[in-house]
Amino acid sequence: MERNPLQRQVAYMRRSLFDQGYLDEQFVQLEDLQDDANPNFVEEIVTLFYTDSARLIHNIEQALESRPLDFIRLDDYMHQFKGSSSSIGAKKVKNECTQFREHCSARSAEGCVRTFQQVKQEHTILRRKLETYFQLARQAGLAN
Amino acid sequence: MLIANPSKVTTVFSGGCSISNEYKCQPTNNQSNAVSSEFQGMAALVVDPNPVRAKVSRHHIQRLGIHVEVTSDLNQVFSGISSGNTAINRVLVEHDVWDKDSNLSALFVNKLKKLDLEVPPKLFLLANSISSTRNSAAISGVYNSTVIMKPLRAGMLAASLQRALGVGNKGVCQNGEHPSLSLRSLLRGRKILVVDDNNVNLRVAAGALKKYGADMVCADSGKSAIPLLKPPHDFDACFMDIQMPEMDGFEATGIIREMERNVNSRIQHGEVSVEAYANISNWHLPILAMTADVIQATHEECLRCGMDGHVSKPFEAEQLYREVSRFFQPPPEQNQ
Repeated sequence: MERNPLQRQVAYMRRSLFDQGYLDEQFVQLEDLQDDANPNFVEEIVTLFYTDSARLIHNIEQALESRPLDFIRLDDYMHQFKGSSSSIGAKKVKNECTQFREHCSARSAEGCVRTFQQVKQEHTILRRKLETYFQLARQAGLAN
Repeated sequence: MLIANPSKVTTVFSGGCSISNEYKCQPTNNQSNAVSSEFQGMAALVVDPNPVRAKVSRHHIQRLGIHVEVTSDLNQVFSGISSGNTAINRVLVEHDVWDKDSNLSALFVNKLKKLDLEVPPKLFLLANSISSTRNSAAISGVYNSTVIMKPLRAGMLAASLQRALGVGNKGVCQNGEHPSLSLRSLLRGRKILVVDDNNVNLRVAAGALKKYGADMVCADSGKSAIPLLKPPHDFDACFMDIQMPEMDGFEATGIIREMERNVNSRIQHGEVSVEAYANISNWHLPILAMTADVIQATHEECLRCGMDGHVSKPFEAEQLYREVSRFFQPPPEQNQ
């Protein structure tokens, strides 16, 4: 199938998201679930993720401000966050979540605060990349 | 009257088929088109002394495009078969009927074997629960037996019959067959409850189960799941997240098992009628834990709390198939 330049660009971008470790196999599973009956499944899930995680981020930020830190509560929030990230194949975000939880176990306030910044950073980077990707894909007229 | 097609007659025994109020008339996706073409030209014989029940079973099977006749007597089956020039290749037996008189059952099996048939019949059991099918293990030694869970539902019935149409599949993916295809045949038409407090996970699970043709219902907490799983209900399985706020998966499962034990015991003691509980006397819903981190300890804890197994979250097709096939298509020789 002859690909037009735009389609090639989309494919390239998709490839690099995987190569650079932003996305993992689970994202492919989501793509597999997309079909004529659910033509925008992947984008819908990702949108849901970002809506959901915005709420979680807010909760965690608040929790990080209370003293003493409630590590159990923080861990619970992060468990949720990690679960969602996992479900969409957000590899780097998920890894940062794992780090955060380790600091919770170690009851390290400084560690939690630091890694949370990293979580947010990866979270934002991925969102921008995926937004670009979906936009490009739409323009290229591909289902994915 | 049996259709004179030498290789396509199905006999259905439904001495104890339950009448499901939750019977869905519309199979999902395009099942009905695909399925009825496969079964066209087949004929079935329903043996059931209860005319109302028989009518329901007949309805289920007719919808698949199979011609159905009804009779109330086991013996009439043989008189019909031996006089005609037809061969039975599929026999569906109601578990109650089978168990009620093991002599008669054994006699029936022998008689079937003695019939000069090109293709030995495939035996189906219509069962209420997994444990009841263990007692019928004797049959499985004779034929490839497939268990069809009750209450009958169109999609499930079709899927079970279809699988038997293919090469004898003992709950393992065919060589080279993509797990999603097998999952589709296992899960099509099943009603599944997914319990998870995480919105994204629910949505992804919904996407996956929908693709496999299951009817999925969501609950976002253990608390909201419990009233849904109080017998009688028509769920075929439940996927339960473990770590949830307020009430975790273990606790929720414990409560569900307690409810089931309660109902089973009351039925057993005659305090309530089994008809009030969809003719199921042994309620045990397959509950699979969904775990993000699968570790050995969690597995044991799952079993201890009354769960039947676990799958990882998000779903991984092969593992999902492995777990689910233990309940929806138990291999004949397996001890669960």
